[in-house]
Amino acid sequence: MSRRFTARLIEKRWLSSEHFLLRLVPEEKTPEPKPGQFYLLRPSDTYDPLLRRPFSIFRSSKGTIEFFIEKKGKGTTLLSELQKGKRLDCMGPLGRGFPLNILSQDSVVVAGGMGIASVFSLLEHFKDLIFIYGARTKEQLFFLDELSSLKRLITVTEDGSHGKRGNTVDALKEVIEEERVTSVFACGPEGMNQSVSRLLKSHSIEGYISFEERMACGVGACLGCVKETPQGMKRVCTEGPVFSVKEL
Amino acid sequence: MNLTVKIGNMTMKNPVMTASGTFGYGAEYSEFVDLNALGAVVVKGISLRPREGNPPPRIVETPCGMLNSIGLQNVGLEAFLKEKLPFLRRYDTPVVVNILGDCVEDYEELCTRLDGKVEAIELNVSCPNVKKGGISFAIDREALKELIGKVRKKVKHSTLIVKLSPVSEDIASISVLCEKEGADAVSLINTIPAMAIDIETRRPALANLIGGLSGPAIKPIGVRMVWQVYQAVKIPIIGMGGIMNASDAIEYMLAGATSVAVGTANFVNPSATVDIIEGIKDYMKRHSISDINEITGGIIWEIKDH
Ligand SMILES: Cc1cc2nc3c(=O)[nH]c(=O)nc-3n(C[C@H](O)[C@H](O)[C@H](O)COP(=O)(O)OP(=O)(O)OC[C@H]3O[C@@H](n4cnc5c(N)ncnc54)[C@H](O)[C@@H]3O)c2cc1C
Ligand SMILES: Cc1cc2nc3c(=O)[nH]c(=O)nc-3n(C[C@H](O)[C@H](O)[C@H](O)COP(=O)(O)O)c2cc1C
Ligand code: FES
Repeated sequence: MSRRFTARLIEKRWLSSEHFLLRLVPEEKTPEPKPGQFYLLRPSDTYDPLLRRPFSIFRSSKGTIEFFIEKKGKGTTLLSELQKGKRLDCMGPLGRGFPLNILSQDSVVVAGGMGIASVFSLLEHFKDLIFIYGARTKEQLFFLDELSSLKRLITVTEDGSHGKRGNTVDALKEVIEEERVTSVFACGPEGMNQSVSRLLKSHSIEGYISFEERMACGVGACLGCVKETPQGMKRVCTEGPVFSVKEL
Repeated sequence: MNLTVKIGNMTMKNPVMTASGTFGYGAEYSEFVDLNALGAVVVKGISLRPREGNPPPRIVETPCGMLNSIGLQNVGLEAFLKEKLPFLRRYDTPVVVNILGDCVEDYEELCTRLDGKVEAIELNVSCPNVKKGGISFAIDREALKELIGKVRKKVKHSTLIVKLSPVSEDIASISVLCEKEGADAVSLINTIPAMAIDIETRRPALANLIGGLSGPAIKPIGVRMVWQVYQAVKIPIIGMGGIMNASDAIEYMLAGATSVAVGTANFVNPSATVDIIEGIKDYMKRHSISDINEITGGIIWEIKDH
């Protein structure tokens, strides 16, 4: 089984003018991804853009892998223009995902914006928990139908257009004060990740947070994707992208 | 068909090696490439003591290339010998250790301790010479002369390669200096100092502001420099800079390279090295070439007077 393979695009679905789902079928047997792991996709066969782009595994089921992507620049725009049937050069699953063995009914999952892409498969794996999901506006909250089967879904938006007005960190603070919380799993923008980490440290709650950094090789060879931690530089592509709060 | 080439006293089963810093310590890519198939593995630059490198962001993509400011992060000599080298020794492939130091003494100690343990030592001279106000050895001829001369005395068994920087003024005469001081080979080119700015935030794309440009964008510069060096020296040349496929590799060899190193291409295509070896064989078949060494310096040219 190889972690480098070609896959055929079998479905592209737009969820907004900037957000889309890509469903791929690997043309050979590949290892099962774990929630929080990622793949490197090559957006073009030319040298511009040159490097592969990292994307979290959004969902996987027998023989298909799915990605939820936001259009940002050159690479993601090219991916958004791919036609059904196109073959893509992929590497993955890569990196360290979320530890599923500590998921329990006292777990809380937090996603800010595109962080949903990284935690969604975790929520499919285990539904008996609290999920806090935040975005700028209600238009940027996706998959609310699928998420309605969770034990509890708390939405927050910056403009108050869906759920509470506010941010995910304040919502998490409230839940921690009111309920028994033994573990937290989070993915969001850098600022949110930092605040969640501080909050969990101050409450001594076990936590796992998924981080992003610009990548080249994705396999630990180039040292391009490091994150500064108290124990030195850690490679997001191999020691991460999911880090324990204890490491931060 | 003969693919074997020699760099100093290092024999390679084919001319394709990895470029330092783009292939980790070999293990990272061993799942994607058969390391036994490679001409040589060149590891990330090693210093006497471990280094933390620069803060992130350390990489950014630019048209047909990328900038990196890794800042020479590495595990240090001790950990390399104990934890990294034994893995590479399981393969039937020569190991080249790229080294860097703050001063001549650092290089001397590194060479003393590595000599005979690896097939070749590659001096990265693009580093600041701390004892001479941080001027790079690549720019300071006197310091470079002293460095190679002193290091040569320590390297008795391994092959000594000097890696040249494209910032050196007159690369041909620098290569002559390397040859005179006893280098067994030169490798070129290292990355080209460059910069990128995010115009929306007005922030530099790299935390370190300046990084090294690599990838297809620099290939014509590398080819030109290899050709100029080939005119000037007799020692073998390891050509690199933007080699993505077999055509690029052959272009470097026609310009004068005996061997080639593949860097940024590994990130794009993790099996680039072995794909290039296969492509070189195809080219040789197509042109009825029985010995790879015939390609080296095989460019046909003349300058016409008007
Ligand atoms: C482990 C990991 C998982 C990710 N998962 C997803 C996902 O599931 N869905 C999704 O839409 N995006 C995800 N991203 C972010 C995605 O990789 C970037 O948005 C993408 O690479 C941008 O490429 P581009 O060519 O469109 O943009 P570019 O033109 O390269 O850049 C546009 C902007 O994106 C930023 N950027 C570029 N590369 C990266 C990168 N590797 N990481 C973060 N920001 C970057 C640039 O700084 C710039 O501001 C993930 C990133 C990482 C590291
Ligand atoms: C991420 C990265 C790290 C590098 N690290 C080193 C290094 O430690 N020592 C060195 O001599 N060159 C280093 N280089 C330079 C390469 O070995 C090579 O000379 C250069 O990238 C040009 O080749 P390429 O265009 O094929 O990548 C590095 C290059 C990259 C992209
Ligand atoms: S992307 Fe190369 S080390 Fe992480």
